[in-house]
Amino acid sequence: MSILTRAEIETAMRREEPGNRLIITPLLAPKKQITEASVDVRLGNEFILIRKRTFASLDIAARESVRSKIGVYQEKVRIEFHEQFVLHPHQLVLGSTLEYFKLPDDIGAYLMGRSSWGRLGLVIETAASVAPQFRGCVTLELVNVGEVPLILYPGVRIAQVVFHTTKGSSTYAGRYVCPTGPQFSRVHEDDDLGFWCPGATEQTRIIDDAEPAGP
Amino acid sequence: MELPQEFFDSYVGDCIGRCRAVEERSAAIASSEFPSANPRKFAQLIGRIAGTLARELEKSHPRYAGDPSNVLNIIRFIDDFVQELGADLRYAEGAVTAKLPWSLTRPLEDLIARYLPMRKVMLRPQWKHNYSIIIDDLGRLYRDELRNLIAQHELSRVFADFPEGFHIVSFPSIERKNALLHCDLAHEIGHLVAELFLESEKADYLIDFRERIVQQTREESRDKPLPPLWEQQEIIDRLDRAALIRRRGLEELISDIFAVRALGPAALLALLGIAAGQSPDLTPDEKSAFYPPWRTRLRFALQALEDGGLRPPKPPDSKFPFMADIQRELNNALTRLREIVDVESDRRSIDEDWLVRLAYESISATMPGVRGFLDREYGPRFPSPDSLFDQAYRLVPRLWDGVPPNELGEGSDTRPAALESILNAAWFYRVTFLKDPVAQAAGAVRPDLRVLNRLTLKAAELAYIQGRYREWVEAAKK
Repeated sequence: MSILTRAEIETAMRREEPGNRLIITPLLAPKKQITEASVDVRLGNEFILIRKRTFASLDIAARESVRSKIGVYQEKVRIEFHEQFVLHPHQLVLGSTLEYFKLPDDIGAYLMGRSSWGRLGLVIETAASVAPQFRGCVTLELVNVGEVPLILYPGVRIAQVVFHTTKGSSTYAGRYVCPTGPQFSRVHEDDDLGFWCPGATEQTRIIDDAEPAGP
Repeated sequence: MELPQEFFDSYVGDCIGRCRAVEERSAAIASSEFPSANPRKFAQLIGRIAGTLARELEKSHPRYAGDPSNVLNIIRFIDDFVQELGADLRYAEGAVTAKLPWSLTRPLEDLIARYLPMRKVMLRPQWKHNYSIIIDDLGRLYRDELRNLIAQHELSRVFADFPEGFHIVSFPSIERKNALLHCDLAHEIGHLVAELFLESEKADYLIDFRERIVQQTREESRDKPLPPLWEQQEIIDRLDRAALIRRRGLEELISDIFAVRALGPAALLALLGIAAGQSPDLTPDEKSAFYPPWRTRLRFALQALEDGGLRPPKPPDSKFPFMADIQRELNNALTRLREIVDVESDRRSIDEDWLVRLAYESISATMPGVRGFLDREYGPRFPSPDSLFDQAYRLVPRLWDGVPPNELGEGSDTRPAALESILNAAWFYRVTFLKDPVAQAAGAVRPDLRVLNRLTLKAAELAYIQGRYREWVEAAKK
């Protein structure tokens, strides 16, 4: 595994075989966004917030309950460009990259925060790995670990993606099919949950792009 | 009937309370999240009107003793108006971001600005499974109602930042994420264009209508002539009816033609999406709200596609293995559509009623004028067929690859695609690859219809922001 440099990223984006091309769209300012060995990515417009007042606790073993109550537990909001999203200290929200990715079968990626934002207290992304052949916007777990509220604007460069080659090729078989915004957790769909969580209810149905009702 | 002072006082108190309730509700709605400025402006306008009317009620109240009948009439008029405003607030309440296809709102506003720069549209969902538009300029309607109630300077203050030419377009709420069907929104915009055409045309057709209606009416009553006044009334009624049928027919047909010229095959295919669920040959009468038969509409829309040079040309050279299939499947779809409109059962429905036939003969005679009007007024703004198809063809492989069709080019050397190209690419993909609904439901085709709609919405949004960002960069360079 080796990390792709600027030239290699650009080469991967221009591969002759379109099906095996790295796509990052839109790259609004490619010269600024593609750095020495990573690509800066922007904050998207959609956010998933936790509705604390309506949810006592979340037990992933109660699969049907999690699935049916996800709209009670979390809500999706959209913030337009040029408008503010205030992230309060210790608040967790899910956001996503503005950019939509298509990774070829021989390239994986890691997503991490930018140090400029980290110094303000913004922590981005705990599940950093993006598998080869993934298509979609990457969900960001945003937490403000600072002392004062942070004002975020959709479109600002907020994270960076480091690409790497893989040994051999791989096919994405994950749960998230072409997401265009942040995705809710699907940990309750883990197939061995029944072993680890006594009393876990049966999983009846997998939903491609489960989304709670809006407000 | 005048009211005793005590009841009057109570009534005025209730009216003021209603005004304040509308004002407060407007403020609450205006603080919601909207995908564009128009719904907030609309809610704020209603709030300002309600506040002004509350003050007007307070001023009118003491005058009751001196002029009870007149003052009561004014207060009842204000009350009716406020109740109407309260009901209209539902338009803004429905237009919050979460209830809209938010990715399409701004691109749609741009599309309208291209053709009708002086008009503003507020998109909102409706429970009824239908697309519709309020043709009347709502600002003007309110202004006209207020004109006799408040002073001119007050009127100017109330309408200070409210745009002229404000319309509400509704879409079926359950289709929120159905980007492909939303091509029907172009038809609704077309209604504003149809209105401009109808306002501009001379009413020469009425002379011909009158002549033929007089002749037919007298023919029918030859054995038992009608009294002159009765005959005159019959002629007037028939004239009105023929003019109404003609007007309703032209409104729909011009809107369809505009949509097809603006969005190409996507508009035609979306129109078919609605038409498929309805009877194609209903006579335009009271029962059908004077809608033209669907078969007639599709015939004119298909003709507009051909007149506009919008038949699918040969696709560009590409490594994408199915490029030729797209053209073939599109042509197949158009051929099947041609077979539908070649059946003339709608014409027989029209011919069953001589008055309807008269109106539709006039519609056919008016069509060259409609085409001329559209070419003259909007010709350069319609997308060129070459560019539309070239872009749309090139975007389909992105969809095939599970990527939003928002841009053309490759690597970091890209440019945003036009909205009409994005929507056509989505329809091209659907016509070519999603023909079998059973295979689709079984998950055999990826992207399926749900993913296709999602990628199309995302593409519209991304292309919009790419365009805006480029403009900003260019301006910054200067």
